Amino acid sequence: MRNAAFALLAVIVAFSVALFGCSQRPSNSGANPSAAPSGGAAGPSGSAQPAPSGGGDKIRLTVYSTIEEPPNQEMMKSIASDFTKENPNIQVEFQFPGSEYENILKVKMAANDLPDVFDTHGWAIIRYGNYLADLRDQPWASQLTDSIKPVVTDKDGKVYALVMSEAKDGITYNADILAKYNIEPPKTFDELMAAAEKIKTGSGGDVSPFFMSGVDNGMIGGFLDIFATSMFISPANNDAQALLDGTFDWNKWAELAQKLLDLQKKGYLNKDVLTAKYSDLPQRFAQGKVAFVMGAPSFADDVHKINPNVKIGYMPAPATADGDAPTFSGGERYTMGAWKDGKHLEEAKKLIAFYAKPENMSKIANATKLPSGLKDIQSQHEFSSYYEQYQDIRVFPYFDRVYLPNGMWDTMCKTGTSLIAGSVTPQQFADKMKSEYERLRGQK
Amino acid sequence: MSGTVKRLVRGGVLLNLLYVPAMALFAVFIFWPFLKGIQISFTNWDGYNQNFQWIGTDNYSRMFGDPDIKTVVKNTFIYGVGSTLFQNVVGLLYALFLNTRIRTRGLVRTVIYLPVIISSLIMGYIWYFFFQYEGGAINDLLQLFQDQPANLLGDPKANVWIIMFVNTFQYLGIAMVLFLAGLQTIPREYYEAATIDGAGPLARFRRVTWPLLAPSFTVSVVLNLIGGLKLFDVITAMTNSGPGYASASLSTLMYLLYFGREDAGYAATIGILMFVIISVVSLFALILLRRREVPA
Repeated sequence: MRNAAFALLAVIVAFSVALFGCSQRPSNSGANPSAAPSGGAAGPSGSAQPAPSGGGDKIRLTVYSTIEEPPNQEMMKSIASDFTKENPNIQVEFQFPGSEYENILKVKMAANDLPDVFDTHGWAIIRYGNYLADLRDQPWASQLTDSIKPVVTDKDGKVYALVMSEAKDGITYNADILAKYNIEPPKTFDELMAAAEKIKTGSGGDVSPFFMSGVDNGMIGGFLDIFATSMFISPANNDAQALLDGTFDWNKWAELAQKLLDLQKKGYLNKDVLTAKYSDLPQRFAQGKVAFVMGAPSFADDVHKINPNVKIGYMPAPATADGDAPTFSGGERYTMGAWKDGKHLEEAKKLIAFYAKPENMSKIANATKLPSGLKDIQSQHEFSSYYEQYQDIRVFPYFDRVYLPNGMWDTMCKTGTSLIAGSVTPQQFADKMKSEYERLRGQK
Repeated sequence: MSGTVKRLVRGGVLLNLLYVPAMALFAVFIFWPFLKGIQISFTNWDGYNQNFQWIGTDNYSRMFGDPDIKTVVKNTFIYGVGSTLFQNVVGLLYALFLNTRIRTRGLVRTVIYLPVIISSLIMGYIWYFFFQYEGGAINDLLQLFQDQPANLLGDPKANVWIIMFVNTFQYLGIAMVLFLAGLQTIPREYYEAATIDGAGPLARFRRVTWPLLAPSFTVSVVLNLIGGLKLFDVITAMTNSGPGYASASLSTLMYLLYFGREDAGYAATIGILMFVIISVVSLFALILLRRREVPA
């Protein structure tokens, strides 16, 4: 019996040791196999690798990015490759998890094991703030544009990330369709609705004025987010303070929900709004079946692959209040922040500084076709003229990032989809927003 | 073999020791996370922050007042019970058909089993293209008879049943194989004796096949029930639980709450509910079906 107990104990201990070994985080720096004692380590052919001739251990920086387009991913890698040429002991390993990016990062945050450098995609302070190093002493920090600086800087002056591309979300439109129906880019919401009506009737229903997706329901959330700014934040008499201090009258949300519902009731949305996917958009846009899309023209390259002759236009979101002007909703698009507890924080900062060089920032701006987050960066691409034309338009931070507690974006998107499906009324939508707002505020 | 090892083998100790790695893995990857899940369900954890508060049973009271839960539980039962019902009925019919001496038996069996080996996420995408509004194969057919295409996946009254159908279609092969295996263990003599006693095909099925197939039936029902009640991939691929939460199951709701709404505490509560439902339903089915099993 004693022998059996001993054997059982031995197996458990052996297994625990094995598990313990498995749970160790791989060392990024000291894992050079050649550092192992050489006696008997080489394989049959004696192929043990020699130490790198540069001397010192190789450092591998892990970088997570939200960039999804393959050419832009290659552009990022090519800059990293230039960096490695200058710093032969630092290797940069990119990960582009695509749509799973947020989920992966959340799991990594829960495990307190983040990449050395990662994209904060609009959540530098609210979500990732506790995990990011202060970059205020970096040479590029003072060059952040006036519109983006407050987005990634807190009240104590901590700078959370390098903003490689700044978001200025308005409405992307098919310029050929607007020209065909003799429509000027609308400046007010009423003009936008009039344009939608003209397109719908003029095309006999062949052109859908707006395209949204209930499956990738961020598009529906995008409409609500952009026009929430236009309704509640941008006008001279606004609700910004009430939203911040929790006294906002959520019945007002029903008016915004009604605007979304009207789009559907009046036949301005694609008929398959509930089941269409974002991936359906480029083809329909290229075929001239869609006139307006909320948000930035990030799908432009996919459209041009199908039909290179389509002219894509871009404009700010029209004003919803009388006497108000159009607006952009903005913030971070592509960024680089450094994990404050990373083993290679200094190298991570060095890498970020390399990306912040004007020539690299220009490459990024030209590839992503987005305004740079640093001042005086030259760029020339398809949408440069639009950004120049609208450079004086006010840019407000994304509504949900500032005025809604973290976690409400999904409620907004899902309930917006239910609204279009007819499962909830605008007032029920407003009630849902109110209850979630209060619940989430209460637990923060 | 040394004396100690011999004694261990003879006493069955070594055999029991072989369980240890499996038990350890189970403890680390199933039991421990399950206990953590129960713990998290009493917190307001957002899923990633290192800090959170204990909120007692708030998540549980919230769950009972949640207007979405009723729909989601109903959907879960449609996916679980509905799929099980159809998979077993159709699977049994296929098995009975393939248990006869037809020439293309091997081919038919392979074709019916083939969907099982496809990833359920990919299966969902394939069927999405069948049912989609614009350019979907089903709508192309429907438009031969009507002007407007039908928005089947966008209709909450239809999409839940479509998802159930896709799940049934995919895992039909498992039920068929289980029944076929069961049928092949029934001795021919029983049928011969029944035939001599004057039993027709229906009576032979009712008096011989049906009772002796009970063990296969138990395994098939319980496996299908568990699979259907935790259905995830097909829903995500076809409707992403939408519109809103109209086609969500408890699994997809849990995922959406955890990662979308950053409501990990509540997601864990939904997980506990799912565990209770699956345990109760499958145990109930197991006990009920075991009772009617007879030795061959």
